[in-house]
Parts: sequence; structure tokens; C-alpha cells
Amino acid sequence: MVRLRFGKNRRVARDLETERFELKSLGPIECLRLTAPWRRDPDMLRALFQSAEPLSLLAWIRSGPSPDNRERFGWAIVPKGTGTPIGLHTVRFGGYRSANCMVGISDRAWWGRDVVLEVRTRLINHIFANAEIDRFGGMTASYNAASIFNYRRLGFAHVGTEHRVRRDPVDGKVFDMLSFEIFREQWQQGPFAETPDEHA
Amino acid sequence: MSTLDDAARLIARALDIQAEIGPDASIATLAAWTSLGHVRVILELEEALGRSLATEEVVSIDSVAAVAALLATASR
Repeated sequence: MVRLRFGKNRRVARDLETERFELKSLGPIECLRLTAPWRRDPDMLRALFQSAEPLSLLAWIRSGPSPDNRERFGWAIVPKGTGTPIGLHTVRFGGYRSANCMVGISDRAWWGRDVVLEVRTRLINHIFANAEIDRFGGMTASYNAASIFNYRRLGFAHVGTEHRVRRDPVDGKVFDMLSFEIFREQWQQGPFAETPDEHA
Repeated sequence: MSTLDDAARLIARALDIQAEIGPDASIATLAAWTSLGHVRVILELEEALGRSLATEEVVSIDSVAAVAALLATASR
């Protein structure tokens, strides 16, 4: 049977919250408004796009995060009481019952404060509770110790390494990319799993 | 003194933990083992070993036992 997908997936694309943050579900225009300044931010360009050069707005529209809220979703991360986003966490469905995550924290004041751990925990629980997804995956650069920590702390298994696959555009160093994954049943046995109605 | 003891001391130093850390401690049991703490553990370990860690070694770091296994490579 062919399943036609029209409109927004409202079970997934909705606002959420964590202890410290409001997670605002974004459409493509809101996402562009939030992330367009990143195309001139050297750290964000380097981490997310392996680029040393600023990207044009057109290039950003083509290659930057763009939620359609059917298979690609994005949440602005907003510290409670501030109204100002500090970053974006995306989830993209693809493959068989599988989803991938990507995050960017643009506000340096929040680096090293375990934002990703808190936000990703909420989003994985939300997706497992509200979508036919059985696997989460993610990739990170081998030099990104904080990102590796986030995957390991959440129970993701390291399932592969692409050796010497990328070159840093700034310092020219060649680095590996690491793949991580976790399945629904593993997540549900771990310490971060919530009961489905915990946030109902 | 065992490498487990050395590893526990290294992690305690990196995470600024005053109390003794047990051999079973890990990223799942130590609240002080945050993302920033993780970076400090890696830096302390690289200093102790006198070399940069390989990718697979970095990925393996999640417990006292894992750090001890890496320290043991230096004494072989």
C-alpha cells in the first residue's frame, strides 16, 4: 500500500520542553531565520559544513537545515525565560524506521553545559513515542570529544569509523568520522527512557 | 598500585572529584563526568601516555576500566 504524505506530522512537529529549555518546533522559514547567521560563523561552518568560507544565502538555503515537518524536523533550543534561541537540534527520518540527529549550539555561553544531552534525551523519547522509528543514528568528527561523550552517555554504540574521510578547512588536518546508533529496545532499557505518557 | 587505581585517580583529578572513585565507575555513574569533564579526561590521559589518542581509543573511554586498559598499554 502506498502511503501518501501530505501536510505536517503534528504528532512529531510540536513544541516540547526539558528542565532548562523550551524546544520550539520550526518551519523552514523560522529555521532559516535562526540559522542564516551561522553561514558567517567560522565555528559553525567548520563544525557543520567543513567550510572555511562564508556561504551565500542561496547556498545556505540549498544545504542548510530545512525542516519540512514530515521527514525533517527542527527544534529551536530556547532557555526558559529568555525567548532567545541558543541553537538548533534536527531529526531526519530516512531508511527503514531510522532517524538521524544533528545539533548546532551557536551561543558560546552554553558550550560545555550539556545542552545536547538534555535536549537529545527529550527528542529521542518524543520520537520513539510518536513515530514509527526504531533506530537513531548520528555521525561526528573524531576530534569532537564532547559530541562523542553525548552519544556514549546516551547509550549509543560506536558502529563504524570512516578513516581519514574529511579534511579540516582551517588547519588542513585530516580526520575520521564516527558512526553511532541505538535501537528502540536498547534505549528503553537505558536510564534515559521515559514512559510514553510522562509528557502527555 | 594497579592501573585501575591509577585510572581512578586520573579521572578524579580530571573531574575535580575529591572522594575516592571505585573501579566500576563510569560515565553513567559519575555525575561530574560531563561533556567538558570528558574532554579533560582525554587531555589528562594523553598527558599521562605522552601521546595523542587514536580515534578508537577516544571512543572507548567511558569508565575507569577503559582508562585503565589504555594506561596499561603504556606499561607494556
